[in-house]
Amino acid sequence: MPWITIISVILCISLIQTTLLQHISVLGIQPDLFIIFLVFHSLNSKLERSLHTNWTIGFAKDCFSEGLFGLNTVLFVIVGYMISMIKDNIYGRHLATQISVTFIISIIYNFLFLFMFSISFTSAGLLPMVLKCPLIAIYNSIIVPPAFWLLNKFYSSFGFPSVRRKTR
Amino acid sequence: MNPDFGRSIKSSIIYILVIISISLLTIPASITNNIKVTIASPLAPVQKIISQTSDLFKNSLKKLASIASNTQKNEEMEEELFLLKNKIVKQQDDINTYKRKLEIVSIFKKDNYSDRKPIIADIIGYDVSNFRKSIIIDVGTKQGASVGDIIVFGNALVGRISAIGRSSGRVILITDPASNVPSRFLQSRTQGMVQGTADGTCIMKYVPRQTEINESDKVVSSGIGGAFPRSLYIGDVVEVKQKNAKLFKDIKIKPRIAISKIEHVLVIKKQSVESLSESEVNYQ
Repeated sequence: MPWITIISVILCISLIQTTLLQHISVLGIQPDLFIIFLVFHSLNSKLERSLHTNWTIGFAKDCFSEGLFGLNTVLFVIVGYMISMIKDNIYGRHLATQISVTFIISIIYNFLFLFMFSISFTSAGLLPMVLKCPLIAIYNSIIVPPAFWLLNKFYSSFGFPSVRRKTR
Repeated sequence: MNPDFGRSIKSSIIYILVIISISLLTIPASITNNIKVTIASPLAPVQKIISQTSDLFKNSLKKLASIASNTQKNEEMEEELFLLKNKIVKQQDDINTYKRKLEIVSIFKKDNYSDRKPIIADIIGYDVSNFRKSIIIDVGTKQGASVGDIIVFGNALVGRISAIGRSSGRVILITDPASNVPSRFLQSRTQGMVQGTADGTCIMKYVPRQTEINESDKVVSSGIGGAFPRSLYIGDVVEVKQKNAKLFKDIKIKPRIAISKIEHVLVIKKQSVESLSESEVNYQ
């Protein structure tokens, strides 16, 4: 049952990200729902399940993106593992924590992505892309409150074990 | 089941997944593109419905906004319309004559180039990454498209098909950082390479420092290499920089087509592009 819920959410996110988010892009930047879902899941799940889910989210992102296949999968497992390592030392249920973690993880993920990208392609426009990273992170952080609220509602209504246990 | 055994299975699954991910990076792009399109294809009909609905909603909002602003202009326009209608009647006769001529040309073209007709495609999705620029179109091998086909909108270059499925295809845009289009300036004929920057603009590389380039100069594809046909409008120069030590100029180009503002594109088949290049060579 949890896997059906997770895959349904990933499919919904993929559809929204590929069709609707283009309309709310600011300065050519759109929020990254995959990263937000990764942070949500990593903060609310055990390490093993979190890693499996992060792999699936990264794989879905790879399927709907141009470029090296498998790059997002690897990066999502890495950044998801980083969240799982620190989540016991932070209060993940607080909105401020969720926003901060999303901001930091967005920055780390985007820098790692650009680092790998710069190895693959010689792009003269790398500096503008690096400067975009903080803006993407800010946009992701702004989306966190409604996105986490929706995901919480969705997970609670489907009786997702880890979230239900914490809300008791 | 022994909990230690279950845990070791879960751990080994993670290791296997990571190994799979790393090995995916080493697979050639031609194979991975097929995997991507095969996995993403089932979602194409849903993407099409969602994008059409959102476009409809967006257009309705635009119409509502324009209705509010246009009420004052209506009276003036009615007067103009009266005069224009008179002109239209006069011109209608000319149009009918041209229409008959066009029909004859169309029949001729249909007979001679039946397999080279361009395909109209709807844009049904966009790239999920902020650093890559690609679109998904509702045209695939079923409609006769193939990898390498050129995508245009109103004779302006949009991009090239990078992966194709049965009923959908992925188009790498000219604004993608990995896209390189051999190009030249319309006036000076100086050649260069247009590369995307992922922020909606492009840069033109390898233009010698002594070349005189002005803002608003037009850039077209040069056709060198054969990947893109020549003379397709790419964009206009918006910024020219010259740093002292550099051999080449830094030229920023605004693409002719803003991808967020269009809903349809035209797919020109590769065969047409090749035959076009060949005919140009013969002509020269």
